[in-house]
Amino acid sequence: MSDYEYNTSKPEKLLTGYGTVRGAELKSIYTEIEPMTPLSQIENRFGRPSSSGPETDHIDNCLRFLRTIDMVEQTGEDVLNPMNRDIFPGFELSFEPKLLHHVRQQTGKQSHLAAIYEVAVQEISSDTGHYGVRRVSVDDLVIKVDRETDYDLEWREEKILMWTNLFAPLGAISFSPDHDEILLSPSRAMLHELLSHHQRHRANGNSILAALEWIDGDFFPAFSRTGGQPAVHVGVADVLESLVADGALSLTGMSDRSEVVDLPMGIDNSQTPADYTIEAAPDRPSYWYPLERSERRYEA
Amino acid sequence: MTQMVRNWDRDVVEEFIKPESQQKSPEVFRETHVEIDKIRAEILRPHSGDDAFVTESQFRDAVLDSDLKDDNRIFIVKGEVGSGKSHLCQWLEYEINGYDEGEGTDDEHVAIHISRSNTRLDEILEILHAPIDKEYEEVNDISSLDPEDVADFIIQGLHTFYKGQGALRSFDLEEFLEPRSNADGFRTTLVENIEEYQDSVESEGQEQDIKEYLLSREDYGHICLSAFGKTKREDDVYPVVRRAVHDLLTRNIGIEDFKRELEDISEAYVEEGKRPVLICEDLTTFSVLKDDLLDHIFELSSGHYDVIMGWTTGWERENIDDALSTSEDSLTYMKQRTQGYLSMTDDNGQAYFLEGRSAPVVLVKAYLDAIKEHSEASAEVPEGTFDSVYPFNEAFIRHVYANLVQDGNLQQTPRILLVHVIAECLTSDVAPFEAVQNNSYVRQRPYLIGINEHSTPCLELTQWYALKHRGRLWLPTEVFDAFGVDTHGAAEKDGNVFFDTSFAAGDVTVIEREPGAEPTPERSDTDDKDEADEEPEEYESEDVEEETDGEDETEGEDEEEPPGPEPEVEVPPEDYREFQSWLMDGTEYASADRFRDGVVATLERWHDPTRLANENSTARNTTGIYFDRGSEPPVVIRGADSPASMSFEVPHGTENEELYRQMLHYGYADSFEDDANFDKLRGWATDKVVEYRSRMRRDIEGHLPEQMTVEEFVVLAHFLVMNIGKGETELSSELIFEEYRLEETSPLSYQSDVGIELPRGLEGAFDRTSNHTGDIGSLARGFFLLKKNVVDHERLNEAIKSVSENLNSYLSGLSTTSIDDLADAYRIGTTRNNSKKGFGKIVEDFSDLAGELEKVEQQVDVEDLREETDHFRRFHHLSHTQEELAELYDEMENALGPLNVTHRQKWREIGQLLNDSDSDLGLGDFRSTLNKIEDVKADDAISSIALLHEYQRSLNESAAWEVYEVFAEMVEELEKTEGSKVGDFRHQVESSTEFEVFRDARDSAQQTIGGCTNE
Repeated sequence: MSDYEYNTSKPEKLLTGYGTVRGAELKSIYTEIEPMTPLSQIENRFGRPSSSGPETDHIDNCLRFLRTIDMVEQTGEDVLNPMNRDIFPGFELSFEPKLLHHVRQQTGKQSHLAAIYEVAVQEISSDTGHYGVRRVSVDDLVIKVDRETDYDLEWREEKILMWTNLFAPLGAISFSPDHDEILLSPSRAMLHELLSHHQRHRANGNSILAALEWIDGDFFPAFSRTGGQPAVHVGVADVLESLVADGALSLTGMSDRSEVVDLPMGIDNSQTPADYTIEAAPDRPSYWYPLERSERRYEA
Repeated sequence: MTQMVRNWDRDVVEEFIKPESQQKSPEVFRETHVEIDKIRAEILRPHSGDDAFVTESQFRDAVLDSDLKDDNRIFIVKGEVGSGKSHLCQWLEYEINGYDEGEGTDDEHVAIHISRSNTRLDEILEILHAPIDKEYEEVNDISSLDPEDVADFIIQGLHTFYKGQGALRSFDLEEFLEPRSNADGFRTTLVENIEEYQDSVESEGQEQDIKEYLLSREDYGHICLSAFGKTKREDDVYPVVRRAVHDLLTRNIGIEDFKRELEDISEAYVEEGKRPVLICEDLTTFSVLKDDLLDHIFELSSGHYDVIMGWTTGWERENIDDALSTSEDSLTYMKQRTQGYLSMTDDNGQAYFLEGRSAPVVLVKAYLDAIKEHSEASAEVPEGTFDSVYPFNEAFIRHVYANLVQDGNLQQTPRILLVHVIAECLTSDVAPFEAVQNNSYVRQRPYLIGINEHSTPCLELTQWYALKHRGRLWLPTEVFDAFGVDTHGAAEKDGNVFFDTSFAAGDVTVIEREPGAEPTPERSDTDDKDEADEEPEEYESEDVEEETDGEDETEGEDEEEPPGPEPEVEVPPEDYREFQSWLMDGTEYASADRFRDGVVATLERWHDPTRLANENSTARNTTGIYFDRGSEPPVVIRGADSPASMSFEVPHGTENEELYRQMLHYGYADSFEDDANFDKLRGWATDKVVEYRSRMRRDIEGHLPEQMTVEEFVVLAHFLVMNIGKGETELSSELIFEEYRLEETSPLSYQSDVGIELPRGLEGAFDRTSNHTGDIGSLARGFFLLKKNVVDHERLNEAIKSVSENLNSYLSGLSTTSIDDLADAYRIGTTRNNSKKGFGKIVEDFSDLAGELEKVEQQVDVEDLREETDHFRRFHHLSHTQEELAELYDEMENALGPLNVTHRQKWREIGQLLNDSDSDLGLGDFRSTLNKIEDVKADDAISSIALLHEYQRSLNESAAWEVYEVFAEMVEELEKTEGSKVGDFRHQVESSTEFEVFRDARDSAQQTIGGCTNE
């Protein structure tokens, strides 16, 4: 694994300050950026045309955000280059987990965006066990994040909303504004992709503990409890259960193994599985990333 | 097919279980009698103690606590139909008179039992006289009388004896009795009622349908309305009229004065040293004699009876106020004069004495034991395994009892339990759990184990028989063996079969018992006051989880089970059962609405399900295409709803139980269960919604030209109006976001003065589409923007490219497209609720426009335009400068001057213009436009329209056109005049064309014009 490289000249603005930045345009813009891509090319393609040329304000916002999380760098000559393309040699990550990875790599104050997710998964306890909760309201999360983190900033609803609005289309969570409900289950596509990469390309490929530790450390929090036997968050467990039900995953318990995870419920006949085998995912919208769920892709 | 070994005879069942207690022989009665140990006593005298409840013996003792000459003593017993009133009365009769001849409590008391089946008046009189030796006059059988005659007799009697009497003094009886043709005449009503009364007397043995009154208060109201025009509910008149009618009827059949008769009978009893205990099981039996009976007995000193009067709760509620001809509150009046006022059932219609959980079991066991005892059949059956109530078990009886219904209401009475369920089961060919499935007296309860994993017999057996221990369901293996039911892979241990509780089981009661433990102890110890004092235990009807009640039986072992939060709203068990049936076979689902609500909620949780637009756009208020039919997304529960195209179909299937159950729950509780796998719900909704949108797209695009996508239609439509409005010919992303405007250069502008004839329909077609230009623009934003100012480059580019490449085929395809069968429900809007405008109409109008543009292509020839501009070409010379033209003008003006035709304002203006060195004639533009018209290959509508724009624009902008126009006019004017000079001018001007066309001619023309200017 090549080292993660931090952008040496990046904007100072807080990540949660990019309240209007969304997954769809980040993905489109990022995907367009090859080495030595002129800024004007991006602006011309994605800026809404107007009588005075393309609208560039929001494009610039997106690029600043991507620069802040070390996905893109910009030279003095207004040329753009992608960064950290090969940090996982051997396989290419989709944009969605890649962005999560970059958010998770941020240090200092800018780690606050990833911290929201951590608090949601690790710090909200349920009445029925140590596996966290499936759903949380924005209000509750504001309070919880304010209480559980120690950043020198004022947590407001807008910051949490920035996180939900950014992460939901990426398939990290879901958000139902009408119900003020954040669903803390990643998309099946995300979990399936990461479990596949892990199985094929990483040490201890078959270990579900190793896989979830990798995911938890590099992408998004998967454990509601990390001390002792790691407990899989119920939102993640739900998705594992769906994958198993659809034949895309099998879990195996081994009585002689201690490297196991603790599931909130028995899945595939085991509540403390050790190994997993990932199979091809069904070709259904529920297995596509949210941004890929166009009906145009649907084959009747 | 299930099996069942019988250790009883079916015909014996019928001997023991009969609808009426009286139908049983005393031995059978005694054998099956279960002590009625809980009767609510609001009043009971004498009774020691202040307990609210008494036993049958305490009741009996109170009744018998009378001396020969005591005044009338009245005991009222009320209760629901079938709650054991008549059983109690029958028991009382046997207790007083003895089960065999010659027995009896004492020599004095004698029970006179008028049961519900004794509805004939002659019969009642006979029973009253039976124990004594007293002559009495036989009475007529009411059924032998002619209703018309009786009615006439009564009317005559009313006229004769009652008119103007007492309370009727100010009542217009004449008018009231006046024959009327309509149904509400007094006579018609009376005849009908007499017939009904006769019928009810005829059909003996029936309960509850004896005709109460020959004139009900309702009848009285109707008659008054016909007679007086208003429903006189004069309280003091109705009872008097009714009473009079009844008196006249009884007199007609030979009972002159029943009240008097009762007094005489009482005397006779006293004379014979007997104390009559008059047991009137159901007061309604007395019908027309009821008034007299009540009058007599409540006149306490008028006789020496002990009277037990039964009536149903419903009767008391509806009729008690009219029961006595007293103006006081009848019930209060009665209560003040009774020795006892007792209730058999509680407010929910449940018999008090069966309240204890095992009481129904004890009742059934008593009957089963007697039936088996008297049966010839014998078979080895594991009675113990079945809690000694084979072929039932404790759980079965308790659940059935808790779910007894009549006419849709809970009716937990012994009669329904025994007659309609137990007897039915015992005489059925199939096992009880199968027999109760279609029993209309038993409210269904859900299956308790996974319906996807087990056979129907196994589901049904566990549904009624299963017990619960530590969250799992279990039953002895012997039970399955006894009925030949396959347990299909369920875990077996120590002779018991265990099942995982399906999630449904949390909502319904299952009896908690540890394997090997004894059934719930019987409530044999009825003297235990403490137990009688207990609060009535709650029943399944209230859907209370019994788990927490089970402590007595399992000695605290339940502590390990997490208590589980108390759900606030639950799916009613019968609805859940219906849902399970639908899951299994996909038919019949009456309560599907709640489920549908949940399905809609699931679809809408994470999606705008019927919207077709750029699904990744977060731009606000952009337009999409909606399928908008009905008030919510169209969901069809397959099997329950009729199929509809373009709906979200929800197929049945037991494998979906867990998922659908959440949606069902939502329909009742407005929320999903906390432990729902939300990813499953989200995944289901996502698959459904994307599939649905794909169908929307296919449906819509099926009505567009071949290969054309919705996006391409939007691009093409916008392009067409931009071409006509602004003369655009190049498709670009800029153009797509540019606003439409009708410029004055458009050939369809009212200012247009290009002399080219366009297809007649073009203007109208364009007017119609121009109503949609705003919608097309917003659709473009809805499909091609990711955010307010960010373009979905890929999608837009693809559409532009395809439209550019296929422009001609798309135009001709669009012109012939038909949207006739495109659903009207496709509408555009920013939300489903505000989507009003039909998308089909837009396509239709653009289709018409495309058709007209096709005609433009055929009709509009650039050659015409060339012809039109020919004269400009003729007069124009490439080297013309403003100066030269000014001189030419002056010369012509001079020539024309003497002819007096130079007054034209326009000419003068041109002259001034030409002579003004600051003016710009636009000669260059004029020239290039002329050249364009000359050279262009506009063989398609788009280019033609654009060329017309260009020509118009040049006409508007460049004065040169006017200059040459004026020259042409001047030449023409000159031509009209004689003179050689004219020919010269014409030659001078016209030769310029030749110059342009023919090199040779150009030279000489140059000379001529050059000569002209040099002169």
